[in-house]
Amino acid sequence: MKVFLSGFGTVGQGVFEILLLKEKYLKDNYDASISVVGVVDSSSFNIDKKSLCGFCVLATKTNSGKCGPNARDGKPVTEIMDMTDYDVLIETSPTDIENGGEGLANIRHALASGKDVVTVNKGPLALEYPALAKLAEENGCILKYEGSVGGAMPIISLCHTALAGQRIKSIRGILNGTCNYILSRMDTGLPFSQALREAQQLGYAEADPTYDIEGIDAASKVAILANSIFDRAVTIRDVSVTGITAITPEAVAMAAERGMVIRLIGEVSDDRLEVAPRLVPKGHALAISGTLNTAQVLTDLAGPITVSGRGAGKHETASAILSDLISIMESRK
Amino acid sequence: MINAEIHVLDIPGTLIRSLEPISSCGGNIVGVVHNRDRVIDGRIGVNITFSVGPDELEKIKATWEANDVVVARVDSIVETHSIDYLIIGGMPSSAVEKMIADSKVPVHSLYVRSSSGAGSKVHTVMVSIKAKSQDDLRSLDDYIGKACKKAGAACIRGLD
Ligand SMILES: NC(=O)c1ccc[n+]([C@@H]2O[C@H](COP(=O)([O-])OP(=O)(O)OC[C@H]3O[C@@H](n4cnc5c(N)ncnc54)[C@H](OP(=O)(O)O)[C@@H]3O)[C@@H](O)[C@H]2O)c1
Repeated sequence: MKVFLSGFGTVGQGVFEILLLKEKYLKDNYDASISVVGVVDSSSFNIDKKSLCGFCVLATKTNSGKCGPNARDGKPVTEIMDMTDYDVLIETSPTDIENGGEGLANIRHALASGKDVVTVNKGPLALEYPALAKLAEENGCILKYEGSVGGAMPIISLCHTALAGQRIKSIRGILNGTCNYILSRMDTGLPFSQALREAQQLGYAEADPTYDIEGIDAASKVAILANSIFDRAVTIRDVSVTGITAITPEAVAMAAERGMVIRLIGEVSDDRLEVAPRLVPKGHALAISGTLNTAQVLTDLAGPITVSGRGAGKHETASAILSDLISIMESRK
Repeated sequence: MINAEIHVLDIPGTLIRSLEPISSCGGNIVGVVHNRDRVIDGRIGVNITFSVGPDELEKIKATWEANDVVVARVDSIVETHSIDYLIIGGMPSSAVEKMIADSKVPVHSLYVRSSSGAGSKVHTVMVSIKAKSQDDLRSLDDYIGKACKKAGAACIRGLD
């Protein structure tokens, strides 16, 4: 299987590393190989119609900041994609939640050209899921996005595969590790601003943390879950969003007196689409501390099912991409 | 839902027989707890939780009394649904209580506690509400959400 990698930052490089690490595993277990035939970053690209040398591309990126010898010179990624033959586009360029950015154009282009797509870029899905799913169907393509919600936490395939046959009544979850880290630190008495600064120093929060702390990142995941699991044709603009900036140490202390903690919870059901801070009883599955993502799926037959995992990270997120690639490989056999 | 405390003779078979009037009236027994370790005047205490229509309850009591079962206590248990809120900013506890009264939604019980931060302009109020139905809670939730927004207060809801 030939793949084209759009975006070569933390996740993109993680994918290439994992494909190198798992080369023998793929051969032994699936009698298959996955070759990267194109890579693009913000300023350069690299193409080999047969297979790019992973070690070489990774080393070039580390040494020069560029993924290859060719300058993009303003070329859109779609034009570069057309320079080579590939089966699957892996979309790992930055999330643009306003208009989908280049990632949206790339996904549309790949699907319209009959290529399968794996994306961890949330923007295109949070804004255009119904149109992209329709485009994929019309062109007989597979669109996969496990890593776009909760990184390594396998929530999408859990709902579609393991819970097949059950009615999913609701999904509630901690979908942003940065907010959960800040709120966990506030449990120990830190004020919001100090907990945020600590999260930034540890690399959990961006220099501009707006998307995380205002609940926008979690809302994009809620929109994806609503479309994918609940068949609701919605966008991030339909999600009611409240962030965590108004939470005071006094509020945290009063919640603790009543045996509760405050957590930023994303919730999807047939009639609710929301991200908001909520009071969660201590000991509840969603009262966890730290940076993990956790989701509780409420089903009609099995009751609540809880899944948890690392919401971000190079190999963690790349692991979700690998499982999507294997699933496509199996479907295309 | 009814919770009854009865005392039956400590003789094999009486416990089962004391439950019969409930099932024969179409009642639904939810729980039975008896204490064999404490025998008083040859009788043991049995606590029964069950649901039954109001007319049937009188029949059950009459059957028990006619069969030498002592009825010590019969209470009705009201099933309630609860939700908690933390309201930050803008609203002192008196305003929160007024807001809930203004909603006109029947509330079974209400707990309101304000932060002790005297002199602080930012009030933090913890509210715990019990209502008789989920529908009542939903109406209240809607009302509280809108009222807090209007007052510029942040409203943190419990997990319902
Ligand atoms: N990091 C995670 O753990 C994680 C988890 C879940 C989902 N995601 C999503 O995965 C995506 C990538 O995240 P990341 O952490 O890898 O980000 P990153 O480290 O910032 O990498 C982004 C990459 O995209 C490249 N790029 C920028 N603009 C581009 C464009 N217009 N076209 C093609 N490539 C472009 C960048 O180029 P340069 O290298 O030249 O700057 C860089 O290689 C994001 O959408 C993010 O939301 C990430």
